Amino acid sequence: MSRSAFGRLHPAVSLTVGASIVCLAFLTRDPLCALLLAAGVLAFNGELFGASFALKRLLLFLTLALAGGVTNPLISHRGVTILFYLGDGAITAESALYGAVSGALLADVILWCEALYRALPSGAALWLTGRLLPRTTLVFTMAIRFVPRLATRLREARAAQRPFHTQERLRHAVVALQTGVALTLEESCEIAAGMEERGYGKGKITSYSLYRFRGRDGWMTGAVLILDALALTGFLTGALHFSYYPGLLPGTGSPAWYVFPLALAFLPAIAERKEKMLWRFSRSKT
Amino acid sequence: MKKAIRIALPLAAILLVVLAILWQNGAFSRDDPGSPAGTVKLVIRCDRALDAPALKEEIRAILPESGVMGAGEVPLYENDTAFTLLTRFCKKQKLALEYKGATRYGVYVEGIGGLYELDCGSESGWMFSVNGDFVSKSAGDTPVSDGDEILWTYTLDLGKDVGSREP
Repeated sequence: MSRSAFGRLHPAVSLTVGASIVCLAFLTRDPLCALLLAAGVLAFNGELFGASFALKRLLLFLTLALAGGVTNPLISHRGVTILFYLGDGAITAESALYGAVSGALLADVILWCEALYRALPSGAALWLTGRLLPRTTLVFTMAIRFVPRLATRLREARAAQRPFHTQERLRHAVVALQTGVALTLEESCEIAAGMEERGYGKGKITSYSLYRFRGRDGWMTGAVLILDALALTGFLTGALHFSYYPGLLPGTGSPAWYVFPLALAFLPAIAERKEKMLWRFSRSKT
Repeated sequence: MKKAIRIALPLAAILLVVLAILWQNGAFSRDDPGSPAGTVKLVIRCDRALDAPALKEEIRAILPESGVMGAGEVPLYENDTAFTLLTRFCKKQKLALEYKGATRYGVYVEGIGGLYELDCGSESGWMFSVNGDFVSKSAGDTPVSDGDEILWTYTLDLGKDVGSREP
């Protein structure tokens, strides 16, 4: 099992939370949203792996934001607030901010994907796709597995018979290829026979699932769906919309709308923190 | 040693890219062209864009209501073209100028002061005329002489609305 409380949630739930957050990072162009998403992932990383790990991530975030903020105004001169001139190119505040926010959002996506990859158990995504698209997942995993397997078979066939003379090398390589392909074909026949023996394709079969949908999964699903709906409403009504060109134009609406992306970004970190608190309190009572 | 190389190489690459961009923007060209050989009258107009219903409100908000974004006399130096005059004028008037430097037709002006090509439909963009005649060449290839009047104007339909006879 995963060592993280968030990773011990039902995979459908934790993946929904992760997908919502990454989608938010793709959807938004708002500077504040970019910062909130970064704060969320840094808090999550801090809860999971400690402060120094999170600090390294912060460094990546700052580097990407800075790189975007420096390069974009050199290439694009859109915007009306001219800060200064480099040669004939006007460096505008709008262009710099747009570049910085783009870099920050890119860093957000990278960091969130990394954090989810580390926190979730390795089979979680496979389990979910296996439920939704069993055939596609089977073909996909087998195709992925095929390449390293064939390489191993070829290596084995080559090692079995090493040529003594250099002139024999070509003939030997052809023989080894032939043997390797034959081995792979034979193996696939065996796999097919084995699957048939286990009842694959002979009607409905049941399987044991490692994951259970518990009460906390229900709470989490409810919370994330409501937050998603509210954040989406914020985007559609223009409250969370931010436009850069020609002049900076923040969203029209109350800043209270930012509560929803904030809550969404901090959901995983809160899940971790809650588990730790529970552990601490249960220990002190006894 | 290896670590130093690993840090130095990306840094050098970034530095190279920044220098290339600066050079492309003309940061290293000398700014001392000698004494002026005359003056040219330059006007930048956006009144056609103000009439266009397709113009976004946030762009309309930054355009002057009079339709004149800038007008004035610009000193003319040797080897000046319609384009170099525009860059000098925009710099003086604090208008952000965006252009493509190396197209097949020469330099191409994309936007002046926040108003860009295609902001008012697929046939909108910037054109220029010298002494009332619209020029179909690139501004970078158009020489200018003392006393000329250059008009940069925004068109909605490839120049027909501002009186260009060129197709």
